[in-house]
Amino acid sequence: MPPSKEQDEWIERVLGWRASPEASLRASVAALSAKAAKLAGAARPTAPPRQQATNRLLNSAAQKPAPNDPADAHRHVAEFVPGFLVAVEAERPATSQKLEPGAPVPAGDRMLGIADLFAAVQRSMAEWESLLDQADTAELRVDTIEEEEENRDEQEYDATLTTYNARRHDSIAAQDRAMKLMTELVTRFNSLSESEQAAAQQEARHA
Amino acid sequence: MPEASTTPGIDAGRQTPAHEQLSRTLWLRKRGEVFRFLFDPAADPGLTLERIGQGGGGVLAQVAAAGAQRRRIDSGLMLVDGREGLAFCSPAEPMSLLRRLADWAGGAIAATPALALLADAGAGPLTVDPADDAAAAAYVPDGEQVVYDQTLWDTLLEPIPATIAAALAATPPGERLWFWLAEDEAEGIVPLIVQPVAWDPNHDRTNWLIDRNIVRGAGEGIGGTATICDDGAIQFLGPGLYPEMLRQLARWVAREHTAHPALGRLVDCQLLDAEGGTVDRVIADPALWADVARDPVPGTIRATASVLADLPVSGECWFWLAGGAAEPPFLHLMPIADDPDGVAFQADLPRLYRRFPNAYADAVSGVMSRATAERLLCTSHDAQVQQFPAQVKALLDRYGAEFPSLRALVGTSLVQAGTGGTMHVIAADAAQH
Repeated sequence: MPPSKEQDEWIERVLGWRASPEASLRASVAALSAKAAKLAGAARPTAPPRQQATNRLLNSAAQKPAPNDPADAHRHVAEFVPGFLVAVEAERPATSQKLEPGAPVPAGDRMLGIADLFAAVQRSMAEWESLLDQADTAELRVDTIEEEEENRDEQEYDATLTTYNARRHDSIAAQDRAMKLMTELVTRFNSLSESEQAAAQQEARHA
Repeated sequence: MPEASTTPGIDAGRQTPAHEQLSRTLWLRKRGEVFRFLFDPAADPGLTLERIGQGGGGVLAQVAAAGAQRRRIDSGLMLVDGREGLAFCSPAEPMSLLRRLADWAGGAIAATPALALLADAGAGPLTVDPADDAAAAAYVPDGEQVVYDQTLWDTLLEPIPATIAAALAATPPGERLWFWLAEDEAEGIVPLIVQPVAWDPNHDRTNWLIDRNIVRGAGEGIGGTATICDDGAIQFLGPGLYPEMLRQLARWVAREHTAHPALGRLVDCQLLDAEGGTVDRVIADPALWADVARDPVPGTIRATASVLADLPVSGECWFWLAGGAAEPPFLHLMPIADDPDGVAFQADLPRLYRRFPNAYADAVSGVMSRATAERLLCTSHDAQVQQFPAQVKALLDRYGAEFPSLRALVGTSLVQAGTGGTMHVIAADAAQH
């Protein structure tokens, strides 16, 4: 419909609005419209956000559950890190509605939770390894002092032995923490796989 | 000191292709990999990395160009060691290079969060030609020749309230954060570590902060992921979270938020205890936050209502309105006076389309003007705008009572501009509330 005085009047009647006494309604609306045209080039998706990388990762996790031995969990989950980084870079979850009690945690968020737990396992293993190294160093020093026999410094010997025992004790506690986290990693990883398999079966039934 | 003026945005590290390449290279590094590097503090970004065998000679050409211009730069090989740490090998004196790298990284980390991965990097000699791919890929300096100085990196990324406040201030609704909550209170220790996943996809910054917090005296903690929700409140999702952690967090915010106002973003946060695939328990206590103010969080309806309340007669703003059967309504506004060409507004749109996955089908965008004190007028060039009145109505139904300034939308009309100057008016009647 071409611009016309009748259209101006119709717009004014429908809108019940006049921009300013000295400017015509058409000029005002045209000015706003020209500004709105700046958004005409704005990228607008034609479909919901892609989930290809996320789905690929979840499918491959479903096909390869973690081994029952928690000690192998870290190595197993590490295989999925490159795929996770690709997925989280391109498709990280972005919904913002609150979760209520009993609500299912979305798969993308569960994937992030497993990644966070994997990081906790890595930190815990590093702590365990560091304490073992410190205990080994102390043990070596204890052996060296013991070889010195009657020339040994008793004070240093006692102090080094105390350090060794403390580090051994701490490393056993760190080992317990690491194993607990690894067990949790196996459970959560396999629980993600199970839910994905259930979803895939449901999808197949619907198809 | 207010954080707002220096706070990096959520897209820090991706502002140009060069920044994005640098960030991705650091995030995706693997043990044993070797990269050619160019360090030019006068450039932005000041560090360029190129994986051996995949770079196409870009770094070598830039080094040659800098040499022709007699500019002072450093170049050589960056090695990823067995612990995924970095070692920069160059003809320069190693400790001198390390100091310059640390100085530069301290200033550049806000724009490129991945630079936190340089922390505890070392520097060593270079005895091969970096242009020789085979020699470069196999290069391993004598371990004793690589120098380290942990004290150089002490202030690069610290577990202090300002770091936590900056992360919260940068994160809009819909974004995810890694978090770690302390189980016990300790003096001088932050009880919460948060980092946006967008800044830290591989968890390195978060790990670094947690480790430093523990070195400073923090005890055990529980980690997980957090979401900034529609109303700006934060939900922390993790296994084994319990109420005392929330009380402890609230006490810390009450002590620190005057100096770090962005910590007010934690007001009304909730802990979601979730061991498996469902939320077992929501831990919340609004009374804990009675004495702490939270400014409107950008990207929330509260912020939209604030923009609308402040819009003067003849004032204009960019608008984006969405909402249908599958999703709650949402209106995003940005004053045109602050963004005359709509560049910042358009930069927000991809995040809104991710946050509201069905908006691709029904969102309407354009210009909103306050024509008179009582009446708003919208114009749009979008092809589909028939849903506009229903969306306005849904918005008013959901938020009109809580945010009175939104009631200015009652009776709003939309002029749809077509080709050749044609205009169609979408009547406001359907939106009458």
